[in-house]
Amino acid sequence: MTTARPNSQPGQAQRADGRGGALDARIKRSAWLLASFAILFYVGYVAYYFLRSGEG
Amino acid sequence: MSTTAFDTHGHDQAHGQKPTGLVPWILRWVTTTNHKDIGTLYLLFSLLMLFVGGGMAMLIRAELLQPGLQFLNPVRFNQMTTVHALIMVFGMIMPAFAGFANWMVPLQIGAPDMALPRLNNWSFWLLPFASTLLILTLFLPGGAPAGGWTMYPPLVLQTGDAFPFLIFAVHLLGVSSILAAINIIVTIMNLRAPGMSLLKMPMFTWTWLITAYLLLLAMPVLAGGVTMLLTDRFFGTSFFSAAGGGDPVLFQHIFWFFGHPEVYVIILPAFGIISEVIPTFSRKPLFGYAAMVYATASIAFLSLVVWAHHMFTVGMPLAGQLFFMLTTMIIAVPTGVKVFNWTATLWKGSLSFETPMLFALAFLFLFTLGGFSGLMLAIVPADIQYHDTYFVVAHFHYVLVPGALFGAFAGTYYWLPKWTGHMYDEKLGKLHFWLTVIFVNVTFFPQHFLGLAGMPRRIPDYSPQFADFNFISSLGAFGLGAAQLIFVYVIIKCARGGPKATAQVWEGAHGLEWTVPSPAPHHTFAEPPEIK
Repeated sequence: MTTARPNSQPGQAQRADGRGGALDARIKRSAWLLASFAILFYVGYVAYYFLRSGEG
Repeated sequence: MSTTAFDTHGHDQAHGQKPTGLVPWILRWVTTTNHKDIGTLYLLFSLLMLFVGGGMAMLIRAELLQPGLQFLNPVRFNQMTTVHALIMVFGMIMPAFAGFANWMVPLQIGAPDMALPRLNNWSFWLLPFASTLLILTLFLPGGAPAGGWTMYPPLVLQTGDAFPFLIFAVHLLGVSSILAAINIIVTIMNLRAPGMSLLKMPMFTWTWLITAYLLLLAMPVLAGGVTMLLTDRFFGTSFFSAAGGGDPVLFQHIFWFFGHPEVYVIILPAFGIISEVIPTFSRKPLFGYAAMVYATASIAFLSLVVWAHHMFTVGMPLAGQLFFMLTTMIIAVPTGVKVFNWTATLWKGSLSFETPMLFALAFLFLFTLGGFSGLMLAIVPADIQYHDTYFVVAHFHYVLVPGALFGAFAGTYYWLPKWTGHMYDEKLGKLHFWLTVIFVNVTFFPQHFLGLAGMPRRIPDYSPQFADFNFISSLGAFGLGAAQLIFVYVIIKCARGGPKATAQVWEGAHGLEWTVPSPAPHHTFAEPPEIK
């Protein structure tokens, strides 16, 4: 059976997996880091060729 | 191996309440954030797309049954080959493996769900819209894109109203893949059960971790390329227009920098499934686990530096030809390590030949055959002869059908009892296997001969000298298509009932996913298991 989160407060949204705040933050940080890399790669590629095309 | 606790309500009952009525039922599936639900959605969607893309393949082979024009005019024929490829790659095989990842990665690492469940829901639901956009192009004025799945300019820029649909669909498919990749990486790196070090992870999870990184490197490049196509068409840029000072060959470099890793995005998860199935039915641990992990990583790395082997006929300096020829050939080394290790796992094993094992063994033989014809294509002087012939069509279909698709079939039969709680019909599974393996070879093997004899790809009509092998190939394709109806029947029958599956399902199976009951409960590993 699932167990309650140890530090949950009344009315506070709970995750079924009982995951802690520090882990949540680490997950979000890693996800944003990877997403930023993908966006940078995408925009950078287009921008690089756009700027290069200006060199003639 | 572990201690586990489970919430035992069935997985047709999200949070213990069975939805009644159509709208709640639809909402339950549209809003679900459960990894098993989303895995199921991915798998069902890819099965649907298998028949959409397969239907187009049937039309293509019907047209090629005999010389002359039968059913499709040349433009429609080229639209069929283009949309068939895009649907099969982006709509069928990639979502199929994303479905396996959703279902199995959390179960294999002892995680309660994917790390970002709502993002997971979004990754899936982008797919039906993107695929619909792509399929809708068939009904637009000017028809669907017809320049091939490679979307080379300037040909693709001649597409009619379908062009922005194509670009938007590819962007959406790319976003879906990138989000799924981020989710998988973050899940594996953060939610592994205590004690599960990286080198204790199951091979399927390992291959998906590497695949996800590969997706993150390759997909933004494709997105960048198609964005540049869009601005060339609508915003006056000349990235790929020679008249404006651009270079159409630049797009080929961009596309294949994505396109070759894409082949490995498709095949690496299949490697992972085969690495699970062979040890189970050999009743032995996988031979050379660490070597398999390093070989997978090496293949992924090398796949990023071989792209121009698709472009030998474009013209490039000799040093470039040699570099891309040699790096392509070097991929055979880690791939050879994998084939050797699978064979060594079989060696002196206590083998049994259930349907997943049959598909895995056929994968071993036929994927290797596809690999060998790939080696032939890597040789620059030979490639100049083979380029754009049916030999290439035969090669990549051997890699993608008895390679990737057989991997997906093996995985489905292997984990179906875990998903449904019932054993599938073994007799029908074996019938599906034998018909599929026979017809795959009848379809694609003659295409080697057609290519070597000089038949070009992407043509609706051909010289009468190619008639016999085309006739055989088309008959094989019809048989291959029909055999997949058995697959659908087996899945439906298994989902509806059958002998109860135990938790372990297979006598030789090891790993966390086999410690949970069958069918896997809606919530698993709410408390992480301890790995010793």
